[in-house]
Amino acid sequence: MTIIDTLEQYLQNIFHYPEFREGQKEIIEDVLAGEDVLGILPTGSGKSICYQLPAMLLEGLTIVVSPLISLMMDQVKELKANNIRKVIALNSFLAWQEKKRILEKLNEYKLLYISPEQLQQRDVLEALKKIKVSLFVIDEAHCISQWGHEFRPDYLKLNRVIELLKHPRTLALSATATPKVQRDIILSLGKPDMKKHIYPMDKPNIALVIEKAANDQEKDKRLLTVLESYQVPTLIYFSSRSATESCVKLLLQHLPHLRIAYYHGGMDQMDRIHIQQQFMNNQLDIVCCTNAFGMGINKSNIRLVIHYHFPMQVESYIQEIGRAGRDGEFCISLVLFSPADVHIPVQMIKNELPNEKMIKEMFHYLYTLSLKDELLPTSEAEIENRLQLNEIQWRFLQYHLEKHGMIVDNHVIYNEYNWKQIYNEIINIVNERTTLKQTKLQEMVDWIQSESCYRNSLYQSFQSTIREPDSYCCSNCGFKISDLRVSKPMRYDNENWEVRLKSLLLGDPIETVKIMD
Amino acid sequence: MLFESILITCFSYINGERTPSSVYHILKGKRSIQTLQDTHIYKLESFYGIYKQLKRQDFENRIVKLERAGVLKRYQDSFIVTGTINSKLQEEQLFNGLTFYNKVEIFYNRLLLLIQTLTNTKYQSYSFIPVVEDKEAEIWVKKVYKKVKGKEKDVLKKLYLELYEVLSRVKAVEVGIFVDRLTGYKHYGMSVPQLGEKYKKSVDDVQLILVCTIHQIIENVEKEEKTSLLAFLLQDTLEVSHLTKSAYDTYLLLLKGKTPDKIAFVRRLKTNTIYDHIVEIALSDSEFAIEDFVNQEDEQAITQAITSTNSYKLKDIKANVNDKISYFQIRLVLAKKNRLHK
Ligand SMILES: [Zn+2]
Repeated sequence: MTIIDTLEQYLQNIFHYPEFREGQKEIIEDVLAGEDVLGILPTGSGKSICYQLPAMLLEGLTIVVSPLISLMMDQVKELKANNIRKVIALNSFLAWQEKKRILEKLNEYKLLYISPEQLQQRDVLEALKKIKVSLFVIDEAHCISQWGHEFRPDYLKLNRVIELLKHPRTLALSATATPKVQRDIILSLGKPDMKKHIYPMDKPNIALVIEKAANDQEKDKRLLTVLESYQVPTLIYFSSRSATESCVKLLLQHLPHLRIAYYHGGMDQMDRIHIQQQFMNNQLDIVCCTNAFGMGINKSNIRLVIHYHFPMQVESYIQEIGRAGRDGEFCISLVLFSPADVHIPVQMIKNELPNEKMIKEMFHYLYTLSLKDELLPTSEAEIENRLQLNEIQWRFLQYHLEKHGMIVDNHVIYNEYNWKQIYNEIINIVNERTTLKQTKLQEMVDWIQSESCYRNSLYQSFQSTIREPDSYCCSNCGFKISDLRVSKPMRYDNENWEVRLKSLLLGDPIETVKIMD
Repeated sequence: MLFESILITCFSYINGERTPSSVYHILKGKRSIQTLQDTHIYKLESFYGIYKQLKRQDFENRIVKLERAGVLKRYQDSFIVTGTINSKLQEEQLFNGLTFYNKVEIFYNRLLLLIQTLTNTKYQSYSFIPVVEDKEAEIWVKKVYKKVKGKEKDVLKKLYLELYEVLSRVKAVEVGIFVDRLTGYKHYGMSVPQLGEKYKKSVDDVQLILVCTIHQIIENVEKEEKTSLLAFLLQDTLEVSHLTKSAYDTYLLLLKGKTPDKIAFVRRLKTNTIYDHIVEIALSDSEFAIEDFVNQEDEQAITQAITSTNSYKLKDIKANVNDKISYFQIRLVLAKKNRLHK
C-alpha cells in the first residue's frame, strides 16, 4: 500500500471525509516528511485538516496556536463529536486547578489548542518542555505580521517558544496573506527554509455586488427587497451587536415567513450553540451577525453574504465572503454602502489601541505601585477595570511593558530615564499602528468605490493571475441581483406543543423542509 | 410583564428597608448570609435564585424604567412601590426558588442532554454538538446511555409520556416555550431571544417562564409516583449531597441566614467545628460566597501569597500574609480555588 492510499484512508476513517480538498494533501505530506511549511489556503478549504490529520499520525503532541477562544472551543467540540478524544483547549477561562491537572497529564493528549498569551505562561512552557512536541502549528498566521489584519503582540514571541521546544516541525497557516505578510511570517518565525504552499484565494463561483445607498433607511429598504425575492441561506454582517438585534426585528416584521435570528459575542454560550447549529441544520434562513460568527462554521450551502457594514480591511472581507458557496455552487456577495458608514470603522480604530491618556495613566499607576513597593495585581480583569482598558488595550500595553523590562513577573522596575524613552516609543507604535489601520481601511473604501472590475481589483494584490468567474462576475461588469429570483416553500410549524413534543421524542425526524438548495 | 411584576412584588415586600442590590442578589440566588437572611425576613423564598442569568446592568435599567413609569419611587437608599399595582400574577405563586435552588440547573441540563443524545443515537447518529456545556450532566448522561443503549425507543416513549403528563399539569405559563427549547435529532431548539420573538415576550420573561415551568415539573415529579424516569433525573441533584451529615446540618442553617456563632450555639458545637463545616461547604457548593468570611482585599492577599510561595501549605501562606488573616480564611480561599464544579 502506498502512502497516498493510506492518507486517504485515514482521512475517511478518522474524519469521515471522502477526499482531500485542494492543497491539503500536499501540505500534509510535507509535514509528515518533517518539513517546516507555510500554507496559504483560502477559507473553506479546510485548513484544520492539515494539522489534525498529522496530529493523529505523529507520535507526541501537536500544539496549535489559535487566536480566538471560541474558535478553539468549536474545533474541540467538532473533533469530540467525531469521536476524537485526546484533544484539549487551554485558555484563560479554565479554573486554576483544572489547568494544573491538564498540564500534569499533557502527554496523554494528541492535540493541544492554545492562545499565544497562554503560551507565554511559565508553567505552561515548563510542562511543554517535558514532553515530546512533534508539530507546532500557527493558525491564522497572518496575526504575526504587523501588516496582517489581526495584529497580536504575543504572536511575535512564538519564535522563542519554538526554540525552547527544540524546534519541532512548524506549520504556519493562513487564509489570506499578501506576499509581504508571507515574508513577515517566515522572518518572524526564523524559518527561512519553510516550504511554501500558496493557493489562490479568488472564488470563481462568487459574484461581487456593491450597491450604494444614501442612508440606513435606504439600505433597509434594499435589504428587504433583496431578501424578499432572493431566498437562499444568508449571512448578514454588521459592525455592532445592537445592529444585529434591531435588524432581526425589522426583517421579522416584513418577512414573517422567513426564519431569522441574530448571533453575536454578547450572547449566552448556550444560545450561540443553538443558533449556529440551527443554521448548519437548515432550520434558519438568515443570520444577522457580527464578525464573531463564522470562524468555526462549516456550512457548505451559504448562498448570499451581505455586508450591511463593510469590514475594516480587504483581508477580513475576503475571509467573510469565503464562507459562501463552500460547496462550489454559485453564490453572491452584496455590500450595501452608504457614505456615513465610514465613520464607524474610523471610531473603532481609535478605540482599539490605548490612547495617550490611558498610557499616561498606566505609567502613573505603575509608578505609584513601585513607590509603595507593591505588586501588579495577578487578575487581568482587575487591571483592566482599574485603568478602564479593554482586553486588547491591556495586552498591547503588557507586551510592551514586559518587553522593555518595566514589568517582570508582576514586579514593577522603576528607572526614570528609561521610562521616558519607553513612553515615547509606545506612543509612536500606537500612532504607527493606527496609521496602518487607516491605510487598510482606505484600501477597503477605495475598493468599494472603484469603477473597474471588482474581482480583479480585489484579488490582484494577493495573486498574479485571477481565474474567470464560473457565471457572473461583478456589479461593475454588469451583474445585478434583480436578474435572479429564488423563493422557498412556506413552512408549517403551527401545531400545538403536544404534537411538537411527540414528534421530537417519538416521531420520525422532522424533515427540515428542503428550502434553500 | 412577569419580570416587572416580580420586581414590584420584591420591592413591595422589602418596603424600602433594603437596597435594590439585595433584590438583585436574591433573584440571582447569592449564597451569602446577608442575602439568605433577607430572603427569609422578607418572605421572598419563592424568588430566591430564579434568575441566575440576570445581568446587573439589565436589572438596573429595568428599575430605572419602573421608576420613570411612576411605579417605583426612590426612598432613602431604596425604592417603595407607588401608584397602582395590579394584583400579583398567578405565575408568581408557582415559583419555588429556595427549595429547588440546587436542582433546577442540574435537572434541566440532564433532561436537555438526555433527549438530544437518545433521539440521536436512536438513529445511529453519534456526532452531534451538545447544546449543554456541563461536565457533570455529560458524565451523567453517558452513564445512563450505556445502560439504555439499544432501548432508546422505549426510554423515549416513557420520557414522552411522563413529560406529557407533567406538562399538562403546568399552570399559567405557555408550555410551548419549554417544548420549543428542546433539541432532538436533526432539530435544534430555539434560543431565548428566538423564543421571545415567537411568543412576543421579553427575554427576561422567557427565562423566568422556563424556570417557572421547571419548578412546576419538579414539584409534580416529587409528589407523583408515576413519573419514575423524571424522578431518576432528579436523583443526586444536590451538589452538596456528599457533605458529611454534620456539615449538611450546618449548611441548612446557613441557608436560613444564621451566622457561625449562632449555629454553634444552636447546635451546641464549637465555633471552630462550624468553620470546618463551612470550608467543606465552600468546596462543594460552587455558588457559595466566601466574602462573608474573607473580604476581597484579604482574599487577594492570600491568592498572591499562594502564587509567590507556590505552595498550598497553610503555614507557608500564613507566613506571607498579614497577621490578622486566620487559617480559616486561608482554607476558605483555597477551597474556593479548588472547587470541583465549574
Ligand atoms: Zn467584474
